[in-house]
Amino acid sequence: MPTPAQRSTSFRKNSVTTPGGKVNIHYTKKDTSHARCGNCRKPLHGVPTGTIAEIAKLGKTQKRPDRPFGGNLCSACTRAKMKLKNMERWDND
Amino acid sequence: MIEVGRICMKTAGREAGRFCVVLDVLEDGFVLVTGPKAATTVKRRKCSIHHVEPTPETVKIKKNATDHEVLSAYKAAGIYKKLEVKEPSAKDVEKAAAAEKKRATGPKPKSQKAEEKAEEKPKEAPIEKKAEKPEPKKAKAEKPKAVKKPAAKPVAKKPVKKTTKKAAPKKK
Repeated sequence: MPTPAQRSTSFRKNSVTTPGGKVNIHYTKKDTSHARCGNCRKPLHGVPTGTIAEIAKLGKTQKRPDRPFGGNLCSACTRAKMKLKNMERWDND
Repeated sequence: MIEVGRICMKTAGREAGRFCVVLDVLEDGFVLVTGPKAATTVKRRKCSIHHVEPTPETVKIKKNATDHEVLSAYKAAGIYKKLEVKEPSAKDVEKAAAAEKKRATGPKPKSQKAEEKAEEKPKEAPIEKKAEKPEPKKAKAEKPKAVKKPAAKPVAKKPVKKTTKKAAPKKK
């Protein structure tokens, strides 16, 4: 029987055959999902996955790219956004 | 569109969204660019044309102009108002220049640093510390002793003396 904490759906089940022929079930935490771009939904580079406790131990510069919108938009989307920003700015004048 | 003196916006990297001037057009689609750093925080660097977006503004400067020349050209053309950028003070310009010099020369090797520390610190620091620290401690320590002890000691000493004197004659 698993402990009550392990009955959560946030656990993944691995069936393991022991040397005696029994089948035991091992409970492991599921992997966390990747951070995704807010615009195009592609997975972001340079943003770590893991539990909150693991990520909290990292430095600030290890959590997101050092760039405007870093950790929220992908590099291609930021470049497009900056180009638009530049166009709009000089169109008004 | 991209030529010497053209003001551009950087679109990629940590300086994305900030303005710079083209100083030189290099081979293979590269460009030499500066903010200057004191004005817009874009440092003097080589940069791809694809990571730069031109604006309609231009400035009259020479090829490979220095940061001081660029700043004076900005002032003459009234670029600070157009870009909504603060004009840097003389101190900011000096700081940026000093930082760039440091970067050009590179950090000192570890062996040199260790030698300098060994030469400087042991001669100066310990002598000063020894001379400074003991003086205030003595001054503080003497005052409370002078006030407290005379009150406490006579009470403690008298009974001890009496007991010893009384005990001695009885035995004899």
